[in-house]
Amino acid sequence: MTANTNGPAARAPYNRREFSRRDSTLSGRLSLTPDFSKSWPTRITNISLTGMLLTGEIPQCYPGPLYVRLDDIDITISGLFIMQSEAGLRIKIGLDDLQLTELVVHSEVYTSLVLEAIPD
Amino acid sequence: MTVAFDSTEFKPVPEEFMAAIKSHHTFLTGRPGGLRLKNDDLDASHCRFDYMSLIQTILPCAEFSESSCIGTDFSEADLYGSNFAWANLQGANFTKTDVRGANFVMADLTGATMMNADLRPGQIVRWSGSSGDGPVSTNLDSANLNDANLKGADFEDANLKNVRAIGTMFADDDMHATNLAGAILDGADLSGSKLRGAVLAGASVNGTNLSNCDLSGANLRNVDLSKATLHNTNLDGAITLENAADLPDDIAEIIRLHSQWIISDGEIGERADFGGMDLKNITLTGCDLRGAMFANAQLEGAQFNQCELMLVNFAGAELSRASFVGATLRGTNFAKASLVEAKFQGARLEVAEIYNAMQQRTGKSIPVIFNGAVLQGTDFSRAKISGANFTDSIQFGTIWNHAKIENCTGILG
Repeated sequence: MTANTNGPAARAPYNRREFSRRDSTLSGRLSLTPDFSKSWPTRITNISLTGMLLTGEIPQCYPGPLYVRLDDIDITISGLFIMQSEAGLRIKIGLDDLQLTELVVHSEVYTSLVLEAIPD
Repeated sequence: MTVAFDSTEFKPVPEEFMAAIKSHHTFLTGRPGGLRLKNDDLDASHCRFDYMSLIQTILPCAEFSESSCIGTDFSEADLYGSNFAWANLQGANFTKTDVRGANFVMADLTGATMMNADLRPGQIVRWSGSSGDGPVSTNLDSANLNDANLKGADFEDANLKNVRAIGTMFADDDMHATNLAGAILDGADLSGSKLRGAVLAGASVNGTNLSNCDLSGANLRNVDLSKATLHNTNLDGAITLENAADLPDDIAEIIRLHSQWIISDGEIGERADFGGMDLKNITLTGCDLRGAMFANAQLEGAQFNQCELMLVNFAGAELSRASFVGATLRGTNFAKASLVEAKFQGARLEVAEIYNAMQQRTGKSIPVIFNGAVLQGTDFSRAKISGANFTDSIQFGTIWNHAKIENCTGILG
């Protein structure tokens, strides 16, 4: 290996900060049904635009749809089970443009995540 | 910002490396048996090098992350592409050192010297593999540079976002296109520096010497220049926050915290919420207000000219005779706002497109929304409007002269 400024190959120094998933102190409710007829309080331990790690007194979940509502925000976020372990329940989130628009209005965390995902 | 090193367990410097340093010192004194220290992939992370002399060593791509190098002398060394992330470099000497493409993220460079150091982007070429990426910018993101001497250093295109550089000497530096967003530069000396096209958005410049600086084309959004020294400073084409000194203290404080919030990706500071506030005729020209909230605010006659207004929420706001001339509005929400005789001349109103971490389009986007807004006599002359939603808006005497309109919905006539 040699170091110079010619040629196309590059290596980015590692330990660069990655913000696409971040720790959070958000809380909300988890439900297995979209009508939230039965739900469980949960903490969103970390969050990105495409996923969440939920912790708390969560029942055993299985592959399939799951639903989350953040406290004080009347928007149902639909997700899909990825895995559950002692660390918590990881779900994949699929937000449509309308939900994103609404979440940007009501959630500081989502606004920040979206701002980060839009290039200058 | 405090960088905690106390809990760090340092490893001993590898014996063979210590022997190589000893041989290097012999080489430097010109005595027989010496050999210049040369190692092109040294791993010295978590090691302690305090007060050692590594003058003129050749250590490209060295790994010094989380190491302790207090008072270490790296002058005239080749440290091209090396990694100093989280390292303690207090009082270290990098005079005339080649640190192109190096990573100093969260490093503590308090009192360090980098006179005439080369901090331009660097690129590592390997015989195998080719990512096709361009040169890597030298990265000092969030580093502590208080009282450091960086006179004459070349920072072209370097990342100094959120650095603390109180009382730091940057005089005569080449800082072309450098990112200093959110930097604390209080009392720093940047006189004579070349900051053409640099980003200083949200930087603090209280008592900063910007005399004879070239700040042409620089981004100075949310920067209060009223307490900086600006003798013979070139601000041609720079985007500045006009009349910052005239803003009420509480508004200035909200904008300051909002700047921190934007630049830190929400880690510090606070999202600005002007919801319902009476801000008639306020001048926020040149401000970076991305993600701010003005829902239901009273903003008649307010000036948002040249502002960055991505994802700002103006829903239900009273914006009659407000001015958005030359502003950038992506994903901005004007639902049910009153925009009677408001001016958007030359503004860019575009969809905010969301990219993933690989910088690829995700297909998700947020349009500019005017649903239910009152656009009576609103002037969109020469504006570029793309993908905006005007459904159910009241368009009466709305002016579209020479506006470039693409993929919008709900525009009448």
